[in-house]
Amino acid sequence: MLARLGDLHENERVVRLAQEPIGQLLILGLGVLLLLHDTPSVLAAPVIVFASQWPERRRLVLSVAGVLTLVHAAWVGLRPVPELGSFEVLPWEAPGASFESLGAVALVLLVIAVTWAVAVHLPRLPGWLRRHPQLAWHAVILSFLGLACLHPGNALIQTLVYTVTFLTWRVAYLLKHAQAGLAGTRLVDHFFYLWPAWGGSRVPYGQGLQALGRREAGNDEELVRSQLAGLKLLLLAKLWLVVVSALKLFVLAPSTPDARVSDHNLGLPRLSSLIEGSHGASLGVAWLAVLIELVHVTLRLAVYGHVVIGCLRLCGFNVFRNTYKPLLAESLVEFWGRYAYYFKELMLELFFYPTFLRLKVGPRLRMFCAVFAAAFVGNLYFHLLLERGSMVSGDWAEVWRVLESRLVYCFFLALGIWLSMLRQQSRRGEPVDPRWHRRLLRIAGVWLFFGLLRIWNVKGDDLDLADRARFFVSLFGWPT
Amino acid sequence: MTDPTSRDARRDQLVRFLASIQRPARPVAELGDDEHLIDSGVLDSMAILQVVMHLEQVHGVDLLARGVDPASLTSIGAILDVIEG
Repeated sequence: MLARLGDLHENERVVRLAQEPIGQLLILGLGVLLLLHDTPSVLAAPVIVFASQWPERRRLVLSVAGVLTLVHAAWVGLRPVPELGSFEVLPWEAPGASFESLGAVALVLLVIAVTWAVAVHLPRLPGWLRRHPQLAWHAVILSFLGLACLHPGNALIQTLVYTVTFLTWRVAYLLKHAQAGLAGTRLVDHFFYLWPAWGGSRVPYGQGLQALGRREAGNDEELVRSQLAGLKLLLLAKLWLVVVSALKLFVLAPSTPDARVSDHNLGLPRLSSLIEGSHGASLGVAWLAVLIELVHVTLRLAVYGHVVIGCLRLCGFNVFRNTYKPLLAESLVEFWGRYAYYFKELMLELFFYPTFLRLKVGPRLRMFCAVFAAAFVGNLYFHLLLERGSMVSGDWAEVWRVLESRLVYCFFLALGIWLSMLRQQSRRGEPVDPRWHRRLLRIAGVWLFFGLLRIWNVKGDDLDLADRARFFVSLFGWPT
Repeated sequence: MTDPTSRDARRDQLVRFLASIQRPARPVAELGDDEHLIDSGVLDSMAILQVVMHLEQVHGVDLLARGVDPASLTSIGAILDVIEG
């Protein structure tokens, strides 16, 4: 039954039926039903219907929807909370939402128009700019950040900072595409994915136009296959949502003392409260909390990513999932690729490859530098930009508080990935031992590494580096 | 005897290399020259790194000097074009 559901988009009879009007009605009806969860999802539903009914105008529909979404956000001053399972049509800290001003929306449009014009004219720009458009773009972002720090309280500069950081990675993909040549593409082709409708303002799910265009449905049959794959993902998101809810209801202690829980709740302490020290626990319970936290956060990310990718697929972009069975990964590098595919791709394309290609040193050192450029430097920089609010208000203590533990997190992540890649290469293409107990051991090793790594990444207003270090060593029985 | 510098011979050599790093999807030899290696599930994007190293070490190709983006090495045909370029 599950296997049949998994291959739904490969089933020729289903694909044929789905192309009929009744089939389309069923697909879109079910899709909309699965999205009727909260306000952002309701907003996504008509966009999906229009985009799939006018496939030849798909990019235009998505562009218009993106503009309307931001205008709506600015109009009502809506600041969406990325609730579990919600479709985050609206970006995090969108200028429109943050500044409650339609002027901010106009500024976003202006920045998109300017970056588009730069991308189109890239071959005619001065040499350095032509060769290093990414560096130039990040120099612009950092200049605005610097200006905002020098002039705290200046609304225009703050709006500019929010606008450019809002579009950072999407423009990065646009510029990357521009280096390869934008021949045959129009503004509207690049406009729709510049809206952070797919994955908020953080990682562009589906990447830029090159990747999206490659997976865009070109006929009715491809559209239907994409939609069926999207439906499957939305259903999977609901399934994981049930598991996450069950974890919250029956296993995890409430995150706030006044939260309602079931009488059957096991009261397993949250990792953050164990690190804080507000919740005493035996060594066994602490280890269990570490592993359950990994499962919990992975499923939460899967739910969110499945909804976003599900919507993209319903619109006709049959792109890869963001999360694909990471808890079954048998190596650290495999987990990294499966846990958050689009973040890994971003780091790979913008940090890993440029470093790897430029360095002509020994193979191990070269790999080390490239991995650290991506998993350490790129990862830290990505999260530094997310702290724009603290930076523009001059709260550097908060910026440091957030980044100090991430520094440790990124260091060990990069080290783990590098060692995992070396190990993979040393096998020289030989398959891994397929026996089930060896496989289980490899999976357990991955869980252990990422579970422990999570200690340095788990969120909490009062958590500092010392708390995390104390908890970490206590897991090994060392007195704290 | 086949000319080792012919496209067919280079293709055979490349397919042998890709088979050594491929994921357990469909055999790489079954892929057409224009089929996408990542989209078809044969390689993941991390494996492109190994393709880059193969191009450098076996064929002496400097991608940076040639202005080739590793992300474009996504089909057998595209890799062969770089080798022959």
